[in-house]
Amino acid sequence: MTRTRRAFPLLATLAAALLLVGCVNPFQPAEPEPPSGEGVQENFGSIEELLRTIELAIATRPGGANAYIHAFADSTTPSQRGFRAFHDQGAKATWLIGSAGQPAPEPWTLPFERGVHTELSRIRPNDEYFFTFSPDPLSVRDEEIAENVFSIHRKYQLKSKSANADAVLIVSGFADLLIQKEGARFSIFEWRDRVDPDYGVNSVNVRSFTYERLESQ
Amino acid sequence: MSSLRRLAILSLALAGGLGFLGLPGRTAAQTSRFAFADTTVLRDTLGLHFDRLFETADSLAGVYGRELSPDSLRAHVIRYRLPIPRLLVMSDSMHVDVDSVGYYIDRERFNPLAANYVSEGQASFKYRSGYNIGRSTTSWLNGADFLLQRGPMLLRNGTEIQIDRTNASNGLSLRQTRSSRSEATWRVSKNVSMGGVATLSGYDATDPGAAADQLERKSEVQFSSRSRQQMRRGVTSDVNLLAGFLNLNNFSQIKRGLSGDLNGHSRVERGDWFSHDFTAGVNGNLSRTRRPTSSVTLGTHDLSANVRGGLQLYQATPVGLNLNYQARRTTVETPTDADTVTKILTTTAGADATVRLRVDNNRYLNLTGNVGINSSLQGDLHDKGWKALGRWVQGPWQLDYGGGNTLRLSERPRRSGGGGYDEHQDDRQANATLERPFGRRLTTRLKGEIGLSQFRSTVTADSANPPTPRDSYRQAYRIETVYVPTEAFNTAVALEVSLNRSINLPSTSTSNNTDTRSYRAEWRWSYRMLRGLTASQTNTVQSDYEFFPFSPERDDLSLDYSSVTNLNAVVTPRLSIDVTHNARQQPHGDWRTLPDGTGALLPSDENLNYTLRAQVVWAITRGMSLKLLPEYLATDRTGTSNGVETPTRSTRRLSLSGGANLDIALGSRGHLLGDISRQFSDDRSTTYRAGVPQPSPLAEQDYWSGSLGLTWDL
Repeated sequence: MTRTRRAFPLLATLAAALLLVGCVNPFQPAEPEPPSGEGVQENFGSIEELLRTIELAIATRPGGANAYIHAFADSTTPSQRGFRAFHDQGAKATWLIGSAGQPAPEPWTLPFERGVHTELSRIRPNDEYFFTFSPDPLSVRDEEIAENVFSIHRKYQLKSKSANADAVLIVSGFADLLIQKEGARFSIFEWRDRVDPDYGVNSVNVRSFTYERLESQ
Repeated sequence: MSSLRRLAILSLALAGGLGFLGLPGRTAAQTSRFAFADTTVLRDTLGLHFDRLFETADSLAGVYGRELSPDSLRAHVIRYRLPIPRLLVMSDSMHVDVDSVGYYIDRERFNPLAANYVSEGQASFKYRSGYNIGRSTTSWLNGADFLLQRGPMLLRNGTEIQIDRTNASNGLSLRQTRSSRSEATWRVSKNVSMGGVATLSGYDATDPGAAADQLERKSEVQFSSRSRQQMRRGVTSDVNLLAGFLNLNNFSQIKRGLSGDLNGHSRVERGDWFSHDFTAGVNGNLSRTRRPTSSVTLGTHDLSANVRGGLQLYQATPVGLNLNYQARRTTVETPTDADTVTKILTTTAGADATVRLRVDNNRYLNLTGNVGINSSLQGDLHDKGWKALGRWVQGPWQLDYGGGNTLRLSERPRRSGGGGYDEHQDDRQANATLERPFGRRLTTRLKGEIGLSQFRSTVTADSANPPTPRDSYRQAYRIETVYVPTEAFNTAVALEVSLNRSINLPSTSTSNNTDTRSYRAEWRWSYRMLRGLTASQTNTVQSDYEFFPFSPERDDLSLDYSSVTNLNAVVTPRLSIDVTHNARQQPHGDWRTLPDGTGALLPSDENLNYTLRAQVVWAITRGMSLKLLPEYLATDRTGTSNGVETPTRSTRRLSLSGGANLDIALGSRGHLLGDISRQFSDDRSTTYRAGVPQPSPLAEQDYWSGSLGLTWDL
């Protein structure tokens, strides 16, 4: 064995020791402020609670934006899953026709998703919102397709209600969701959007999430 | 309760109650270096073998910096029917990455300048038809590929028509997509070919809820030319040109004009110490465009230009350098409702350089730096970073280590609903794995990792809604031991401890901050009882303590006990049976920390899931097999109210799927490929209100699904 090879473990240990002793800890997180009590209470302890948090977040404007985005998987390391949405291709094609050349990013990732809550809020800014997920009767059942990975199918509807009128449906569609459980927390890492065939891709009054996502860019 | 005490409780639980718990196990014998590899990917398929798959993938990724996972490598071997050694030789000789070999083989088959082009004439006509049926959708695809090569002449055509029908509650949706590409090429000389290309496509869509149908027609007719040059030994290049006429007609625009595509590639080699690949191209169109509802015609042009290259220095020496770079700029112009032209620019550029310090495959260090920019309508993304990856083997010890730091700046200008802020992201991570065998039968591995991601935002426009400034911290340790006493039996135990902290910084969000401490213990074994009978079992116990630092009243605990047992029997070479039983219990509830530092679980709900699943496959002939998949699922959920446990929901489901798979050669020219199956399912759920059962109606499903494809080669 050469002298260089013998010296390597020693040098590596020395470098590690210097790093520990002499440097600022590069993995030290920042100190948070004490809470003020605003915003939506996030609860991601089960799939039902995750969907309920999204329902509350969309209904709460503008304070629900954080809770909404926290419901989706955030990939901070290469091994982690990051959120991706896939558009309904018919709705995407229709949107592209009127997009004046603006592209439709796909897969749609978390940075894009950050504008969706604001976009939904802008549709009827003064109305009260009611967002619901309900089981999709036409899809296959919900199931755990891999360890801590769940496939669920939901119909989503967003209704708005002004002070002196009945609730009006403004967003409707179907979502094929993949949800992961990491530790105690559930999060959505894939959303395959489908247009509600009762309204189609060209409805002006009732849009899909695909349309709202692309509009939010 | 301290971490150690929680760990001790878990360990006791594991020791005492794991006899009935497990996921499908690993079946192949382990060797020390790759003892922890997922050997399920090694199963022989299509007569191909995957000897040294893990070693090859490891060598490609670690030593040469070409990331390719074992299952991806296996997929390429199967897709292109190329054994691993052959794939590696072709990768080297073609100067392409391993995962690009198949693509280049397909491309070169139709290259009139390829070495074996003239000598081997070819003629073929392939027809294919496929029909897919689902519960509410059907899809019918028809396509044909025609190829005729005689001497220096090549004629090709590929045509495809797909019709999709979807039944909705208010009617039928229809979509039809058509495409056809025809090409005629004449090899003028050894290094030059000329010809023409015609590309036609169409799209029609009808939706019952739509105000109008959609349609699109597009045609391009172009002159084509390919040329190849060899200036001197070690210097080669090729240049391709397409130029012609474009006609596009759809709902938003009518466009006519000239289109073109010019691209080239060059390679310079000097011995085995220097090589440089360079590819550049530009394509676009010069058109007159108008909206269908307008009479004003506008001049528009679309342009896309790109360059990319790779430089390798001293690949075979202890110190080497890899440098990759790429840049692309795209301009798209479209008419607006006001009969003006909007221009959309997209730019990406990036480079990365890796210095490789290598003694041998067991002692190396790769240092990589990268920088890049991505500019689009949504904003600019700048990123730069470095990473280190290395391995050091000393006697029986093996140390793999890695780390890196990436800085990203995302500039998002104000646009309609979003944007109006800059976000800075700083990701740091480090990991190390120490592994050593103890004798020939026992291997132990210790793995640790730590990481911190920091996100900070700066508002650049009024009323913007930037992401919450936050940190995400994670650390994990895992110790794992594999014991392989005989070739027929192996077992492993693992213990994993992790901490994930989600830290929002501003006071408006910190009430949702969480620290999640997870403890996971795993025991798995696999035993080949008879030549065709293997049993395996995986048992896991996991606890996730979720602490809310600012809202301790919301602390909770999730427990997860799981056992998966699998029995795989190859009864005869044509009949195999696979039975899987899954038992899972998941209590959950609030966690209260007591004054003495210990804690208590206040159960709120519990899930109990049992699944029994079987798969019976009978290969009647070489081209036809029958499959039967029965499955029974029982789920019970209980809740706790005033300290009393009561049922809240129970579900029972029985499903049965049976069908046939076809893979039949019709003479020497035809091929029938497909499957057809019928699905039955009965499902009943009972919910409980105040302890009183409320059974739901029995949900029954019964439908056919399948696909059938026919290929005919004339």
